Amino acid sequence: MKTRNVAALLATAGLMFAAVPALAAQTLVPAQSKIGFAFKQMNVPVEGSFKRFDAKVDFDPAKPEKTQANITVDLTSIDVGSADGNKTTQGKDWFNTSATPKATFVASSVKAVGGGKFEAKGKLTIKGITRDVTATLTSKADGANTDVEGSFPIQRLQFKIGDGDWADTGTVADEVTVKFKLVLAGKPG
Amino acid sequence: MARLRYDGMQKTLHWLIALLIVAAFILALYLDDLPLSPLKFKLYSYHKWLGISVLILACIRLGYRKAKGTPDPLASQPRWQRALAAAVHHSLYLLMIVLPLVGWAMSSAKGIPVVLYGVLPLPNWVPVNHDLGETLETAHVVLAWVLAAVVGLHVAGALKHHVIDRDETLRRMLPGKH
Repeated sequence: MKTRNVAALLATAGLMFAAVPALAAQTLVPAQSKIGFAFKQMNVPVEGSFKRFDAKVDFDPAKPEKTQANITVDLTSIDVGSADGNKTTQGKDWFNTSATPKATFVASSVKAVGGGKFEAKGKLTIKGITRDVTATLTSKADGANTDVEGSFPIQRLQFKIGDGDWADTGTVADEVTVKFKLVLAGKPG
Repeated sequence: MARLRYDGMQKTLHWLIALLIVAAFILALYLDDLPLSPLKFKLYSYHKWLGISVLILACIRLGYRKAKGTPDPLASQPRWQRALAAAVHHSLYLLMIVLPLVGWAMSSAKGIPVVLYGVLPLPNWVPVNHDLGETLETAHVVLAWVLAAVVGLHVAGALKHHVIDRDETLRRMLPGKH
């Protein structure tokens, strides 16, 4: 019995390992990748970032329409530049990370728009709210890696980010630009 | 003949700067304990605007002082008191310049640059750096308390002249022609 269970488990694990490269032949190089955001508070431009995220991406600049991208951001890893700010943004009015610790982006279509640029449409989910977003991005070969860099605007209140007193857009602007740089190792599959 | 009184421009700058410094100081004390909120963001900005206004007005004041001079201290004063008064005045000018500059640098280092009156972005002249931000914050706080102490001496001196010596010193900076 036991032996069979172990064998089944190993077989399942083997399948999973086999399945991963089929989904994404490229792997993220987290140390060189960045996911951050920029917004204005009191008309002052400020920036922040997320320290932990994962991306299963398969992107070939020659065949952008075959792109697959599934990005998960650990919202508890936020860095807005101060301990106070990092704590506040985990709270209920902001990301409410105890209930919804992750944000996800799933690409639905990517196409080349000329001049080395691409347009990626996809669904962004934060705090259980899903919206369509459109990112503009560029890609370049970086040694054996591929760098994919871009940004997209969101309206924070559509995701209830900064609710309650914080909903006052005169203090913290509604528009937030999400910026990303994904360094992908390996060849697209 | 040396002038006996400060002129209208000097009085205006003196009292305006005094008002802005007191407002900035009280605002900072209040801010410190406030939980992070939209109000805190607003007050932080107001504090920065007050500080940079002091910096600008202090520069104008120094230029004006260089051009127009100031009334001499009353000759009746003992030498040590004149030396102390001069030291206090020089420290006030120095702090009116240095304290806002340190605050400005601190804002840059903390990644929250100053946008004066919400419209004019001031350049960052130090890089964004967490440790540098903390060091500058400490310097800003220490200098603010030094300024408070020097202002205390300044006010005590003025009152001493007015109440104990009953001389012209304070009246020279008060509005009116008497």
